[in-house]
Amino acid sequence: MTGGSFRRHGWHLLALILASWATETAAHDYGSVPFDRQVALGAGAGLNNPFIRLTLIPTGLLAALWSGPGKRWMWPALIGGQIGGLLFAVYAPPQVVIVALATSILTALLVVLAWRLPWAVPVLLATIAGLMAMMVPLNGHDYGTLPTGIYLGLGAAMAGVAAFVAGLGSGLLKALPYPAMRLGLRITASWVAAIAIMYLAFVLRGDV
Amino acid sequence: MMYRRPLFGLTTMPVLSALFLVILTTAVEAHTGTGVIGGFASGLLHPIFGWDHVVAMVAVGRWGSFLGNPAYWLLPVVFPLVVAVGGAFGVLGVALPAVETGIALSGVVLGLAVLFAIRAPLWVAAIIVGVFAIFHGHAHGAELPEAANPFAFAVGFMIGTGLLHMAGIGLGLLSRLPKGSYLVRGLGAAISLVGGAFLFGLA
Repeated sequence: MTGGSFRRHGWHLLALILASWATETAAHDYGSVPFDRQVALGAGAGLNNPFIRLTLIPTGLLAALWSGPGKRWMWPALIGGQIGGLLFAVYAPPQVVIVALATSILTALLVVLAWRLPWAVPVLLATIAGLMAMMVPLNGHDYGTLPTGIYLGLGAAMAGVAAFVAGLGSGLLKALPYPAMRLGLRITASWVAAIAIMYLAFVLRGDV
Repeated sequence: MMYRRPLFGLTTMPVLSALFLVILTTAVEAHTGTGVIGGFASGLLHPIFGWDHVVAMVAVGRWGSFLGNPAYWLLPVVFPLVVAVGGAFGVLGVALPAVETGIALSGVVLGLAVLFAIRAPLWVAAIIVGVFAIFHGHAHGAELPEAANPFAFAVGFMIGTGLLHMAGIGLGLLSRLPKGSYLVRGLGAAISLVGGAFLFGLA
């Protein structure tokens, strides 16, 4: 082999040897993870995601404080939004996080103001919250790249966050039926809105 | 005397003294946030460890409790929200003129409002509180480090701000006691004086 020929073929040979050593990437390889562990992983990812918490806590507070005729439709709307998010997350741009935080701020401010809302507004907000909450963690993941258990865990965690806040708020209002309790929940909503505003600034600055 | 000899138009002794003091100085450690930088504790302590912020936030709660329903809860709702907006401006580097003056002035104005138990219309009170809140939020936002955990920082920051308001509301409730209003108004005077000290560079 002449020097020129080594330069031509030797590097190809070296690359071939190195390639033969390479193993399949282990990132996001959930194939060997048991189903219950997949669900736990999905739920953990959902509960640890600030965007999900900030999007769904105001929804829960709205469900606790709003007492319109269409209240029961908030939950199917939330689940429907999640299913929509599951389907459309792959098409969503990364800027979806900004829309998620804007939804959080809007919902929290409506809770603070305690306006009489037409039933469609809370139902629509619940749909958007479910849609955003699912789109944010799944953004960038193609269909079928995650096992079913992860999706299930994520969905359960999201519904759980909203249901926990709504249940806690409703329970407190029933146990302590004083105007101060209602005010306390509205003040909590204002703090959530303020946190979302601050977090939005960090997102826009590129810290998140 | 030797030290009276002029050196470049100055006497030697003061120059040497100044030089000696400069040698003694160490690096300033204010706002390094060592150990708690960018987390929940950092956010929580940020509004609590600045007296100019503390007095204004407590004064908001106190003034709100003087104004009665709905101001006693509405002002502490408006203030953190607008603080967050100001903080966002600060984080994003949006310039705001005379921030420190605005903060000091907030202590003076809100303290005087408590001292004289001014019964301003709700919308006027909300605007006054909101305008000052922008300055407070901007100062915090501009001073923020690259937060290691922005969510934890934001949560801590808002809880710290809210707790200060609650402290103000709690102190304002003292006015329901016999002679309590004198105590609360006296605290308003103290807040105003602290604000004045910051305004004129005495603190």
